Amino acid sequence: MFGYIKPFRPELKIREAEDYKAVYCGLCKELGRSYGLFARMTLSYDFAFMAMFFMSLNSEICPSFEKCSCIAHPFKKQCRCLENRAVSLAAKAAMILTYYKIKDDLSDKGFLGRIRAVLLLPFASSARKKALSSGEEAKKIDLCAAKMIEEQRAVEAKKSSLSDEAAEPTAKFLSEIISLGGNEENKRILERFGYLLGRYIYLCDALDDLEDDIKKGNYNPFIFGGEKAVSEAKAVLFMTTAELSDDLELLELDKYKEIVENTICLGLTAEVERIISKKGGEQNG
Amino acid sequence: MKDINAAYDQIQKDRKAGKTSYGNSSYGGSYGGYNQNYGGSSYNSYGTGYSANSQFSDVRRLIQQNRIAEADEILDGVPEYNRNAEWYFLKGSIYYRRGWLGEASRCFQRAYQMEPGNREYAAAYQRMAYQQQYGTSPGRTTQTQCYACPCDCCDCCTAMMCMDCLGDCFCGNGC
Repeated sequence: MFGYIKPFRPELKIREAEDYKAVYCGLCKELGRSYGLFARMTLSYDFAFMAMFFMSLNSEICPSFEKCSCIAHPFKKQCRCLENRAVSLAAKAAMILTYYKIKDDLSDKGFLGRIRAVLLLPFASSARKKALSSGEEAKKIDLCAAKMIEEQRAVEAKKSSLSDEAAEPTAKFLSEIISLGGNEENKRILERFGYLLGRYIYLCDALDDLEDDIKKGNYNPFIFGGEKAVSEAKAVLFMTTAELSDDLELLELDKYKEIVENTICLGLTAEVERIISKKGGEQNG
Repeated sequence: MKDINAAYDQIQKDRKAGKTSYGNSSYGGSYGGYNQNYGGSSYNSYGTGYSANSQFSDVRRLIQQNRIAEADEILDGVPEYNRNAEWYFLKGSIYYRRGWLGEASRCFQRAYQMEPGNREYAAAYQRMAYQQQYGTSPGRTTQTQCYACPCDCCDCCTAMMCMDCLGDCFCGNGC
């Protein structure tokens, strides 16, 4: 995924920021430990949020922490969250998704992209196999990811002008993944939450890539909006974040409640604003 | 919140029986959240008046039972020239439930434009217009942006949305 789901830092308390960082580091370490150095390069905010969200949903997952050193920060010991079910589930999802993304790049990225994909595929493929051997959950994620890529191709071939339709494959994928972290009681809410979150990621990415896609002639659901494309994208994204916040209120969260709320209620809209202001800057400069 | 589904069913049952405090008020609809989506049975609280006038009471019932595919099929079967404001409103409700928010807002807008006097359509449309502008739903207090909430505009519809949110709090739904 792409790193659009992150907390709104100015509103985080210092201890919350430390917790968040520890989970982020924990996921990175878990990726490295289980899937190798290549896997650590795929670390993203989105999966760190997923790990944190799963911990928040399940009160029985009790994270423990340790101080450790890290290649990225050689002079300072970092506090990190040790492996648990939530972290390992997020790591599995990250690996499987990375594999499918790379495989997808093989067929439609430009020349350089294809070379990159060819080089990375063996690593991604062995990481996926390792994840798959870990049980049913991973197999389910794998099926959903394969379906998503296929449906995404179909939507792009169709050149749908409806952003809702274009976002559907990613939305359905995340709906399945997020509901893995819950139980029978909150399944319905989590399915909608995941759906909206997937929709948010897809649409954010589409908005972010808009100019690039226009230049290269790639498909983008917002292309059809013409001059109003950005404002339309913002409206659709803001409706999605509003609905996400409403949905979140129905969930019973345990630890990290404030961080999850901060991310969903403030972080997501802030990210949309950031993407849009970046565009403004590019045009003026 | 322990068992949301059970609570949801209970609330719907209560509503049908007209037990809620605002059961007979014309502002009955709640736009609060997931469990009370547009076109749901919360509109039963419009009382017999509205439902009896409804051309699509069967579709409303299906939506309320969460049988979205069937409801959509019936709506799609309605020929173009017969698609009135209520048709667009219900189509919007179906889109909303599926998470197709862009299409939902277009449909609600159309319904509102065709019949601006209808409170149900106006509330649905205005709620989404608010979301599009602020990235949050009207009346939420957990967000910093929300302090700039609708207090500056005192038109009837905004007031109505506020009442909806209050209603939510009282029945312990989203708060």
